[in-house]
Amino acid sequence: MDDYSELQKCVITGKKLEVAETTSQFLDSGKTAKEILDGGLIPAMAIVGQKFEAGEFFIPEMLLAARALNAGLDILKPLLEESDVKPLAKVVIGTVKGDIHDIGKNLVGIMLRGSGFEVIDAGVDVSPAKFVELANESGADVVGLSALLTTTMPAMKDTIDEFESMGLRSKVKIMIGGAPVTEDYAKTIGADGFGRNAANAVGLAKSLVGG
Amino acid sequence: MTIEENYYRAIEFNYPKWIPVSASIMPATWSKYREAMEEVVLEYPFIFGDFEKGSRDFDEFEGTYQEGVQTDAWGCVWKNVAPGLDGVVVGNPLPNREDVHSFEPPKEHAGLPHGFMFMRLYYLRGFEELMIDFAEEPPELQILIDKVLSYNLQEIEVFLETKPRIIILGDDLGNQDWLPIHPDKWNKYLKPCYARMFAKCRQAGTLVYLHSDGHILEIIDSLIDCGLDVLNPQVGANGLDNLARVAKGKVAINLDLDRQNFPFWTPEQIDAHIHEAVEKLSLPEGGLLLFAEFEPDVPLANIKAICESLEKYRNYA
Repeated sequence: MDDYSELQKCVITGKKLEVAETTSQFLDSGKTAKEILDGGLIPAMAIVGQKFEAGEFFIPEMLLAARALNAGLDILKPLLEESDVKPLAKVVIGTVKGDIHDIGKNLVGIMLRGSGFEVIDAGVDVSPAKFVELANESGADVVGLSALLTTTMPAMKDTIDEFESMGLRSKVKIMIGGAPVTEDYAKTIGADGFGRNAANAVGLAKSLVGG
Repeated sequence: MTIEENYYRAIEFNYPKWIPVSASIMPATWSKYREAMEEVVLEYPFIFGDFEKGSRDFDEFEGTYQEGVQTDAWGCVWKNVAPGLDGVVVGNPLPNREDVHSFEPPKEHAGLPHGFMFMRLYYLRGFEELMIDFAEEPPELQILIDKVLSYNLQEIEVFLETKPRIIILGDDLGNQDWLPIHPDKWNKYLKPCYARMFAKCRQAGTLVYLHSDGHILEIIDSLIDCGLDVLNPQVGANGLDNLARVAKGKVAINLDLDRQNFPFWTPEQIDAHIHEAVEKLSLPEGGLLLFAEFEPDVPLANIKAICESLEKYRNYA
């Protein structure tokens, strides 16, 4: 039982029960949790991301696939922890101080989780100090800052400055995103990258951690 | 010709004398600039209309512009941490699909606030749950849509009793650079709603105006089919060339100038932006209006520059 194409198809088409069933079957056949994750679930989510970027999938299809993937992950997670399999990287995400919009941030979190990252969701209206605290505590590799409003974009720079002033800037990569945010703005404030949507943010996070 | 007559001439492609220009000032912006903002408003009557000095309470924040948490007539919980700016729905009354069956829209007249149809669906269900509904297409999706639509049609009927010349509606249908749902699903589930609401207005002789934030290019044709007279789309999310291709001459465009760049641009860049907009979208017979929204992070110098350029290009020919 080496062919993960059926499992991938079930994830991509959002078939939650079938994903759980097929995942269990792979485990029964002797596959390790990591093999199933790397061979079936994560590549499936990469295809979902590609389809989203290509305009073939929209948010409903992406979310349905993510929920189906979670049905498999729920089964694998205890086994992955048992065998000390590390996530691709740890990412702290949050909406910056003064901003409580969370749709974009949540989509990024869902896509990152589905792509093998451990995500620590700091929530909304997150102060620069809180981002630093969470990144430090968790040993995060990447910090993702979200803002929907131009009025809260300066809080992204404040957060980057906080990492600088705490002497932690070199320990994390910082990516930013949100409706009014641009690549140029990311460069201006010293962020390491800009994600234009949830799928794009996954590719960016991977490139930032050398994945 | 009065400003009002000219406005309707532009909307109806009936050779306006000038391009109608207008602007909205967020309450937080009033609060920040106060008398200086008032001076700007008084200086540009073509943009702001009649305004009496001293008539604005600079610190007045109504409804969801107020800081704190409040629940609207639908049971949606709003939160605002930035007084004078828009609040956000943080509590959804229908988190479970089965809740839809027993749900009843407000019995009182709660109007047709911004987010009256598509946004109301996710205010009620939560964004992710609504998106899953659109993916799985359970009967509850159509049931909820029908309930919201039914309320809206009743509200429109009440509004039309005063025989208004135009109805102004707002519903953000797009994300920054794409639609949240596939255009086919939009056409299947939402187009019939807008078609029924707009038809009711048109039958009463009332023009229909719709504001939408976000990228909506793929559904503009559908909105026109529904009977839309004036569309208020964002430049940044749609692009001028795309709007010219999809909407110019087919529906009046009240162009929402690129407010996502107002805080960052120089006055020269602002002028070039407005110049480009009128060059690409204006027609001698009309169909173009220009609109700017001022958030509190826009420097006063840029607000003045926007007004100056609007004043300059409204007579563009």
